[in-house]
This record gives sequence, structure tokens and C-alpha cells, in this order.
Amino acid sequence: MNNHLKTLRAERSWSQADLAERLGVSRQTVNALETGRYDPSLPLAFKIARLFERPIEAIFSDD
Amino acid sequence: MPSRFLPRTSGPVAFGVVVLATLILGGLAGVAMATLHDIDSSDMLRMGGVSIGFMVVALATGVWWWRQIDEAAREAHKWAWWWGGSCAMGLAAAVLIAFGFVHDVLPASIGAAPPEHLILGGGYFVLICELVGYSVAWCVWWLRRL
Repeated sequence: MNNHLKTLRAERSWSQADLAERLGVSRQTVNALETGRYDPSLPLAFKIARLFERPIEAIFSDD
Repeated sequence: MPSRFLPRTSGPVAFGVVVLATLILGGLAGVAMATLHDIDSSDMLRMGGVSIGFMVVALATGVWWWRQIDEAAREAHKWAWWWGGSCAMGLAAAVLIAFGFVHDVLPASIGAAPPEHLILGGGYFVLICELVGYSVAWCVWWLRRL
């Protein structure tokens, strides 16, 4: 699954640690999410969507 | 959500701390078992009580720790438990069964050991294999996601 997490994070000048703290996960998890090697659960995907104020499908895509 | 005032409960350092603490506790238990030879039934009851106490504390700590870690860390542990633990247990079982057929390759001291020691030794062998398999699988899960 692809995502725009890295771009969205960079737009806000957040580090991976900043994003991890806002999401309540570890920095390693944020890194795994950004590289597309770990797909988040639905609750975490909704949390990410709320944090960036975008719909889930605008952040994650399955192509 | 994990608090910044609590120690980190996931990642390589936390995993190392847990392994080290387990090793120290296991060592202490081993020393106690080796030094306590002549024990009567009341000592056995006390030891049983202490063991149950340790188990309750360990279970409560485990539940607390599981709620602290995030979903990716949980996924890594679940994967390590299934693949690392199961594969290592299967391998250990194959080794033990093979020793049953070719027991002449084992040192004579093992062959002369009482049955209860052999059973305990086999149990420890499987346990150590499982711990190694779990640790390796946990590392593999995270290394694939770096």
C-alpha cells in the first residue's frame, strides 16, 4: 500500500519523532509506515487522517 | 497512548532489557535450585507460593507492557511468537527425536543421567531454541521494515 505520509509530514516540517508522538506510536513504526512496509490498522489510519485533516483515501492508496 | 514520562517499552533497547532481566531472574532461580537440596514439604509450599507470586507479577507486567506498545510492535511480537517460536520448537523437536535414534553419539554422562534430568534438559533445550528463534524472527520483522 502506498501513502503520502512523508510528504504530508514534510509540509508541516515535522520529524518522524514529532509525528510518532502525535500519533502515539514509536518512530520505528512511523518509518515503517512511510516506506510502505507496514500497513496501519483502521483505527491508526483514521487517527492519521484526522491529524492531517484529509480523508483516508487521500493519504493511502492500494495501487 | 505512551507517556513521555514512562520508560520506552518497545524497540531494540527495551527488548534487550527484557532479555537481560529474564536471564538474571533465570540465573537466580538456577542458583536457588542448585543450593536448596534438602527441602521439606513446608519449603515446597513456600517455593510454590513464591513461584505463583512471580507468575502473577509477570502476567500483570506483561499485560501492562502489551497495552503500552504500539500496534506495529505488537505485530512484530505476534509474528516472532508464531514463526520464530514455532519453527525453533519444530527444529528442537526434530533434534531431540533424532537423538532418540542415534543416542550413541551423545556423551556417556548424558546417557547415565536419571530420567527426570533428561526430561528437564530436553525442556530447557526446547525453551532456549524457542527464545533464540523468537529473537531472530523479531529482528527479521523489524529489519524488513527499516
